[in-house]
Amino acid sequence: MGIKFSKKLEFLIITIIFTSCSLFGWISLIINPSILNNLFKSVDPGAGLLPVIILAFISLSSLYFFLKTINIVLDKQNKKLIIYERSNFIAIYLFISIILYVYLSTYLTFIASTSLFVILWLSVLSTKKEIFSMGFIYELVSTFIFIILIVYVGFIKIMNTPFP
Amino acid sequence: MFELFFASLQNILTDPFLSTLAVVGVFFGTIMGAIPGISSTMTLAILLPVSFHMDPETAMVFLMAVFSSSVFGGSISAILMNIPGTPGAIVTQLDGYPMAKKGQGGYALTYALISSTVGGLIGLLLLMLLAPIVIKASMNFRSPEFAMAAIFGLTMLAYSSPGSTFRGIVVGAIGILLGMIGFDAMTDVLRFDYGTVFLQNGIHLVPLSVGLFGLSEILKNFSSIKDKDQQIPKIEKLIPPFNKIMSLWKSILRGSFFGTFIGAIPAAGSAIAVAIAYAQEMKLSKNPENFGKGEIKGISAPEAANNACVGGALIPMMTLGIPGDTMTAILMAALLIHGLQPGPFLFQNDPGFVSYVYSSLFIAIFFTLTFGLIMIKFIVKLLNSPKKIVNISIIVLCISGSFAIRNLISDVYVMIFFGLVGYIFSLVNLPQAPLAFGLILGPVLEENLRRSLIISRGSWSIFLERPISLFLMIFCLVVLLWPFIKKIRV
Repeated sequence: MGIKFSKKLEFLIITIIFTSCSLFGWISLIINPSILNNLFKSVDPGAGLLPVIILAFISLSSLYFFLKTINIVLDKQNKKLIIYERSNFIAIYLFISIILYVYLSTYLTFIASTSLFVILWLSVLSTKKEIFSMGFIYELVSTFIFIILIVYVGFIKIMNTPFP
Repeated sequence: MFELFFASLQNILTDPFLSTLAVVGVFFGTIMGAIPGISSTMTLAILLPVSFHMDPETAMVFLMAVFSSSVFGGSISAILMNIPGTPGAIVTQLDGYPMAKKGQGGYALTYALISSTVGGLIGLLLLMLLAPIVIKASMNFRSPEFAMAAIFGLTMLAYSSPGSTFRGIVVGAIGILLGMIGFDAMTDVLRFDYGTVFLQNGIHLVPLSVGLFGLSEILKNFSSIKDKDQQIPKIEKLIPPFNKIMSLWKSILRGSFFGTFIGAIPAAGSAIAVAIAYAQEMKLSKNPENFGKGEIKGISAPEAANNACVGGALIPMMTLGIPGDTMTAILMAALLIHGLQPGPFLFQNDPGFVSYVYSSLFIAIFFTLTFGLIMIKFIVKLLNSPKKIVNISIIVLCISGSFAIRNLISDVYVMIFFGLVGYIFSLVNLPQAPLAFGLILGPVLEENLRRSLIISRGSWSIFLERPISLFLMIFCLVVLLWPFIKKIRV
């Protein structure tokens, strides 16, 4: 089992997602209203028709989820927002480390960054006992060789990918 | 069509590079499909960037091999570990795993492989026979019908997505919105770009798919990672008695027809087809009490249905440009990347390419049968390796693949962003697939919606005046309103 949200938090997050999307669209249309020039004025509705329809639909949906969230919040049952487990944090660490990995690859080169993070990830995902065993070294070497082989042969040699 | 099919088949088989590529595709597809937590969709999404630098025909040979073999791969973990590698293998485990526990895992895998092969071939044959009929019918399609067909595809996907239909529709709308970022195809007007070059280029489908179906799954895998990996029993004998194989022909045929026709319904998916095929076999069986305890018909019918779905799902994708499921959505993305728009005009303008799709699928099925048997023992060894190594390797593949599309680091960040989006969506019970569907079908919808309004001089009644368009509209409305109708009836 991983993270499990309560109904309250689930609806709140959905409302935030839908509202952010509609705001993203509406603000852009306000900044650049020329898209809407042809709307209702000529036979060709122009580039603004579908954006307006879609944004109106997403906005109404976010309003619906907002009202639903309020309804759930007012209902005082189920106060717990989120249920954590140890493994949840691994996913969060992993996500942050992936961003760091990509960011660092532009400075350290892709191969160096990959090597560093493969060691890091394997260490985080292994227990202390495993790290100080020979098995860990085998795992490390085999993973490293496998990854470098795929990246080097598949991407660099065959696809000519210019990695940083 | 059959002449072109045999010609392209010969081309692929006599070209050492294409044949090797098909073998490589089958190898990776089977292995990745077999690993629990890595679905066929994810396998296809991760390996899609590899096909990016190939010509369309070569890309099809590779992707079809991955597509078809990953479906069988999903059954390996279902039989040996009681964990379906793909949603379509969810029923296979019911009888496959009890057989593996009895020491007949090798037999179960061979039954699955043979049924998959026959199912896949029947699916392909029906695809080749039905596609011209659908094409003939769709020749009457004009802009209003295509616009409605795009809405129909999205509606069906939203309806079949886990959770509520309404959530699926809103996510699909967000996908359409994402598809509108950048230059408008008809007027070259910039939309939702906020003055940035990054957004002017639009959201590329590949990083989105890799993030949504690849990275998000890995994040989920790490969220639910087990302390100890499950050990898989050794495989002793592989080839079952011939008379037992022959006794399955009726089940395989039934499963194949269910698979093809259910697979052809946009977004119905293989999970529904295998469930129906299994239920039907149980109903027709003289010993229904044996099902769930290692009944071979409980493996053969769903496996045939699962693989026949591949051909079935290709029918709406190839003929109407509506993906049948998430896997065909990614295949469609591959075609779009190579400048090919699936639909009736593809059959008219490039029948040679269509025949390549068919022959690639045929070769994929044939190679899966050949190499599947050889690879089974190797896959068992691989499944015994720690999951963390597999997951880490896939993270690196996701990143390398996203970068390789346009050699842009921004694409990698887009992939990571959509990986997070997919992960959050799964936490709050929002379906992910409509997002990709919206991105693919959005431009089709918009172009045809605007064309329809230009033709009708701005009148929306054009969608009501044309029978097919009206039928699709009513069908979509019924599907969307069905949950409310059910509530009222209750």
